[in-house]
Amino acid sequence: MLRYLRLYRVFFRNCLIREMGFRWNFIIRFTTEIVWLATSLIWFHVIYSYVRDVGGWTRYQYLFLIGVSYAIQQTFESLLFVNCHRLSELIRTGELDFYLSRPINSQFLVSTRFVDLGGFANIFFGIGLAGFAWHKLSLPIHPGNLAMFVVLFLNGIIIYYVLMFSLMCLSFWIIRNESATGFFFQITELARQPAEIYNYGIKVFLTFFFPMVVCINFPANVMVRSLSLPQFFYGIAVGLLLLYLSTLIWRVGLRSYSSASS
Amino acid sequence: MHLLRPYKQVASVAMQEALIYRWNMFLQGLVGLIPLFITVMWWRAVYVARGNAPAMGGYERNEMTSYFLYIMLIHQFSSTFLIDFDIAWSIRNGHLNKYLIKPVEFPLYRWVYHIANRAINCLFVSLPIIMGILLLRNYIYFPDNWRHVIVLFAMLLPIALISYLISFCIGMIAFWMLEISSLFWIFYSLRAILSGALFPLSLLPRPLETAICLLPFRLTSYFPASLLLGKLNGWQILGNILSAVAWIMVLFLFARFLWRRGLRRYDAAGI
Repeated sequence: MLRYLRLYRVFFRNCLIREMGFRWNFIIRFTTEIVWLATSLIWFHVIYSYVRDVGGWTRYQYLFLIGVSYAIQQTFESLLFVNCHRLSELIRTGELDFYLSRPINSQFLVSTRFVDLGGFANIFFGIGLAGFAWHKLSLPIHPGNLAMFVVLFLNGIIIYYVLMFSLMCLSFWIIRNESATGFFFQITELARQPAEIYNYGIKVFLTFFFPMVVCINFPANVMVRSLSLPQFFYGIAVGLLLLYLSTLIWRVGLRSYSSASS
Repeated sequence: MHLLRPYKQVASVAMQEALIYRWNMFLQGLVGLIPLFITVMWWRAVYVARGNAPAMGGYERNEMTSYFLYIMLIHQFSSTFLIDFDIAWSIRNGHLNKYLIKPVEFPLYRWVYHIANRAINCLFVSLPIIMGILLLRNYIYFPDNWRHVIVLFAMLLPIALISYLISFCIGMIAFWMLEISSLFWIFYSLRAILSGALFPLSLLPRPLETAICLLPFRLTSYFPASLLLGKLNGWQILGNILSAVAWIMVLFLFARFLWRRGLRRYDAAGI
């Protein structure tokens, strides 16, 4: 475990040095994401100038959800998405060989090798936005809730990761897997909404069968609405189970890997 | 007529190429139902919260959800997503050379290729969307004036052309600046807001709405959707059509100007 943390530090530093060589790229990436955030804030502002709450989410509760969703999305994108995104290309060209021949867990290496620092800086914007909304709600600080929030935040990233990773693993069987990225963003759109807008059946489906609600609604609920302990443990159990599932998918996929060109 | 013959070939090739991806398109249409579904659910919740003051910006609930459905349908044909990236890419790595030495005009070539591709796309994407419409029929306002539908079909090509010309101009920035693709995402955000694809422009304060309507972007989303919803009277429809014609001319001249200036600067990488 320690070895992996140490390795990760090296990856991170390596990417930092690389990124410094392309400073403009960093700045543009950063502003692009900010513009996206601004777009959703305009949308938010327009809606809430007409209503006081949506599905029971008041103005600042929903703003908190946007902030958390943005922070989770950015963390995921800058640490894991950049790597998952390349996976289908690695499989198609046979470059995956390089990763398989290193003496560490191949799934770890393939998923964490690169860090996108432009996105990384944006995480703090999401956190800041959530912090601002939370401040506006003037709720009491509760260390237990904060700890649960942190755990569920990471849990949400894991579920995002498993979804994206599994979609990319399809490349083991489908050669042209280009739409997977687009699909990922369209599917996670389900996670970014307050679960209360869905009707009962859909909400149950998105909690238990396709647990998108766990990703962002759960951490947001624990801070600005309410989340019961059983829900909390359920959320974590789902995250861990899915993470385990991803290792199975990876192993089965590798069996069909043809290692083209070598 | 023989001047146009190469373009007929281009269209045919583009269609054959698009057909290779028919399953992909079908799947994309299927997954594309998710945002549509969320839109319906979202506005349902908003209108529940509105209680006894239902209409927002002149839109009832079903009109609002249909607004987004119609934009989604129209975009299947008129969307120029990634065209600007493609053009910038061709300019940057000298891919353009290939077309400059052929007896075709690249901007026209790209347009024919694009529109033929979109036509096939519509064919396959519409199947899952029709399924979605049947499932969500309780939330949908169907156009009740067939004249509006005819006007819409007549306007599809001009709408797509406006969208294309805008994307083409944006892509041509690559003549002057290197590595600006990330900037294009910013333009997408802006276009989503200014065209009314994010929300109907009538939700905005009046002065802002009027200002945005002076730009060409609304012609690609806000105009066709509000047309189908019967929000426009005869004079407004005529005004929009004339404005579309005028904008096509302006954008065309501007694009031609940029294209000529750009080619002079073009360094034809790779030769």
